[in-house]
Amino acid sequence: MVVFPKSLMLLSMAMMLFFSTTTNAGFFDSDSEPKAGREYLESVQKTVDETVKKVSSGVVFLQLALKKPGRTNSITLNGVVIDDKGHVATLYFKEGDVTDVKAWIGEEEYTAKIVKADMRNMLTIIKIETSEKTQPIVFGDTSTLVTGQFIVGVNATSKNLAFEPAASFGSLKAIIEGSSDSVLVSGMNLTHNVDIPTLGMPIFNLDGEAIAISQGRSIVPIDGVAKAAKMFANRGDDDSDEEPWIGINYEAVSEELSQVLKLPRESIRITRVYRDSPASKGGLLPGDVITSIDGKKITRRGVRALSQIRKYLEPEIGRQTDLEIIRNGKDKSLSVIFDEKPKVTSISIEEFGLTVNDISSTDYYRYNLKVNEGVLVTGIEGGSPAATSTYFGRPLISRGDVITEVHGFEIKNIKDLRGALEKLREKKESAVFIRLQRGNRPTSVSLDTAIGQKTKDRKEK
Amino acid sequence: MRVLITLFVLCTSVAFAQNDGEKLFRKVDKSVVAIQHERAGGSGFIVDESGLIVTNGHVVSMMDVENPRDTARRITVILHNDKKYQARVIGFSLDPDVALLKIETTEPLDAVEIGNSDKVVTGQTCYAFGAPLGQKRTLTGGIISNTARTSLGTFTKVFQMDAIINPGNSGGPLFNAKGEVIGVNTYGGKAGMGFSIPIKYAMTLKEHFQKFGRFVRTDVPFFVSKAMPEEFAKVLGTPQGVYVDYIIPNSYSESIGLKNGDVIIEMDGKPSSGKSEEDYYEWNWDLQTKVVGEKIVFKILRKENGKWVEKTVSGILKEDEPAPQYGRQIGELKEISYPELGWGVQSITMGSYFIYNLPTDKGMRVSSVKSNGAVARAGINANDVIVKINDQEITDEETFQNVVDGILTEQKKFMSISTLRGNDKYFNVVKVSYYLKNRKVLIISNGAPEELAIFKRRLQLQGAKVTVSSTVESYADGDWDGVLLHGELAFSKKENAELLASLVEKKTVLGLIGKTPLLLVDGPESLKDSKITMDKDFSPKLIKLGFNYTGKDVESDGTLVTSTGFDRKTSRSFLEAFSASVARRTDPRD
Repeated sequence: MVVFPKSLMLLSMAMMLFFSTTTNAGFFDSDSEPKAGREYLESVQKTVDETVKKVSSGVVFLQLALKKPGRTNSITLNGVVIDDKGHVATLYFKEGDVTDVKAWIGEEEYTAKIVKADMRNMLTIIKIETSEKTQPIVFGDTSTLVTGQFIVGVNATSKNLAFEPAASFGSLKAIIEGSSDSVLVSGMNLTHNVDIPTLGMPIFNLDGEAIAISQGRSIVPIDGVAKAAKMFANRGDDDSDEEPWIGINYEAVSEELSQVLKLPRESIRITRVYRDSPASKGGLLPGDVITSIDGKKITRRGVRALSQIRKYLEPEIGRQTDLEIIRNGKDKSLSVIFDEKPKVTSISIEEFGLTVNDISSTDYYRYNLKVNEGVLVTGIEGGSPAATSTYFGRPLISRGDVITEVHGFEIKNIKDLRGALEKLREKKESAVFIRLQRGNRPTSVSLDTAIGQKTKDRKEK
Repeated sequence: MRVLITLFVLCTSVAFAQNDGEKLFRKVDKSVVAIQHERAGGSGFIVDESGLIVTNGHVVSMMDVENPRDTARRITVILHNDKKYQARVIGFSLDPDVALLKIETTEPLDAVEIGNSDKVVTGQTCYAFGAPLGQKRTLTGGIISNTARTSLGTFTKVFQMDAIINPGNSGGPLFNAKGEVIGVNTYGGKAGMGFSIPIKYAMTLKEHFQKFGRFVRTDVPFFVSKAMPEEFAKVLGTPQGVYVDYIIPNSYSESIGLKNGDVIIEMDGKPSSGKSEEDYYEWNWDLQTKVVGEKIVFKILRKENGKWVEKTVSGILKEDEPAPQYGRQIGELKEISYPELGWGVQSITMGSYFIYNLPTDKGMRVSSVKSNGAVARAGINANDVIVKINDQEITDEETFQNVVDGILTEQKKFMSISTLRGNDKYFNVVKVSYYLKNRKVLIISNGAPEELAIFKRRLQLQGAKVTVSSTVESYADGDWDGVLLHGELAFSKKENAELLASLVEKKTVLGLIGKTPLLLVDGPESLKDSKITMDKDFSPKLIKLGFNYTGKDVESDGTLVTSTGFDRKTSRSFLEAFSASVARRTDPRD
């Protein structure tokens, strides 16, 4: 495959950069210098070419047809093949915005369907329809990246460019680790355009392993995609969106904290342990300081430890993770088992016009609740009794209120609420007395119900 | 003849209608005054010929959250005939926003007629009179738009009218068509909205101020009550009384037998109505304006065995807790501030516990955090509750101040603060900087001991070594980075000249506050180039001698820091400027 001419220009620019930073590598002390220099250049050129050849069957050109066309009818992206079953990972986009996805690997066109849109990990998994095995990219080890190392960006291009992969050559300018990771690159033009979409473009090291992916504004190490790909491989086409979790919030250990509490800075400190979570079951407490995960010691200090812990953790439901912690000056060993993050099932109470759910451990913190039992109100339907009944013009019920009693029936959960509603429907109660917990105190309100009312825009349950 | 008479009557009635505003103005002009002090001004009106004047609380309050009871130092009242009098504050409140002043005159003054604010109806004509200093005395007219605005977050309902209220008109009277005062005007809202406190409340407050010097609210601590909208009462099956929404556990109200869900139908023999917010506010005003120590009797309805039964609950009225700071109201609670660390805290009252939805009522609430200050950088937010500092439990103002002062005077490097926020516990470490570490400061003072103590403390908390003396000789004893002169010092000309010359030569920071800048007259001529300020009353002397007097509250010019020292806020700013100069001071021998 021929290297696209444009990249040669970039190549030569990079070469000039390279020469400006060499010291006395011996290039210039003999008659053979210009020749040695030339050979060197050619060898780098060859490496880039080989890298492109090696990986280009794993880089995919994607065209998404938009449901609501704006200035364009479609947007283009790049994606990477993550297994031999035709799964392709690309940047996250909203499924609902897209009607149709087409993919090209080289000149071969494929139809594709969206298999999983993962907003949290910022990626979308697509499956392309092919009977042949696809060539996945190889994921490199991002923990060994060094500033200044050379990188090759490989862009799958559009039909207008004959689907020729566009290569760019550059180096890593900086590796940023903290509560989120990114890399800065030098010598690459990352401006996205329709024919050479840099969004989703993978970046490789000279061994042809993918180490980063462009998200447009920023370039992130490929770990997120690699981990997601691995999890996906383990679970296959299972469409469930179970999220593995431990249930902790944590922070880096600042210089001050380390001095006052006599803690190593190569650690992270737990600030919150969610109720009924794997962390609480494993015996973790707020204030515990984690120094090692699965035998791997944290070696980065402060904010960088946050990045390292993300790399060490392998979130997978059922997986046991061993932790070494410091608690009150003493070392301790604990284990936690990843579990499914509790999903919040919201239901709509039509009679009141409320959206409610059982209180989850995340709700407890998010809404700053003072009770553990009851039914949490998370939404109020416009035009409903809850929205239109007021206390002299002010809403009677708001998001964050927890219903604890309805018309004399104690409400501990949605089951209780359903039971109470049954009885209210039987009695055809048109107004009920509700006890709520609002913030740090309880309050009572009355609510007209829509029981027995048939209005034009109310669907029969 | 009949035609003539009809015509005559018609004419006069028309003429009368045209002259309403004019007539009113002539009637009331003499009773409306302008009020002015160093920081702000407003309007007021004479309620008694002996010289009692009503205005807004915010017109006279210093609005200093560190000293919430402080009022402006020199308040001047200007009558319609431009005669000026110094006023003394009998009492003030910020919510309701009413203050009572007294001026001493030789002749009796024209007082207003007090109307009945309960009889005010929406749509009736009203006139607002403002007399802001520097502007013409103005009368604006309109109608009452609403007699019961209860959604503004004020303690009582207020009238809303469309008679324009400009800022200088705050505290002025609202008249009905007959020229009787029906309200005390407060802020103007957006165009077309003005608010006025019904005069009934102002008159009750007047009595409180005369009796107690402040607004003493009564309460049965603590329970939360509310009005009962029609639907609510219907569902319960009771009359629309006042609903007991929540009895605070282990409180006095619980001990006298009040229970959650009780419906109060009578209080001290008077029917209690929760039919509207207005009625409820009225009921609450009643409850909170009784007499501390007296008995209170509630007749309530309580559901027992499915039936509503009538019961009587009685108790003794206690004094209500101070109102916390909220929104733009500074409240009545003192804030303990540490500008060195960039934070201030307040005690937690039941009020603040609910308003701020605090996780506990034990500890101190962080009421202010300076952005980028040492405390902010440690991750502490406003409304965090402090429970421990350096392992010591913080239970009240005293422990808080003792612990923090202790840490700062020992110049500890770190301050560890355990806080509660929402449902989380935090451990924040503040790195403390001592900007005046190793600095030596001399205070020569014969001024007010409380103010001297404040200066000394604040300098020490920043790490300075402070020596206090009352004699000028003490200067010779040491090598000072800063010298602060405080009080009514009178050195001999020679002593003074020597002192000042030496200070200027050694580039020692010199702080002069109040009257002490007068001492500059004996100093080197170079001092005349510096910008200075001082107590206004004594400034003419310095101006005459060619000093560069600016009149600002605080002036800091090189190593010379001066201030009028007019009030506590000014003294604080002065000390900040003085400290900053001392911290920056370079010894000429270095």
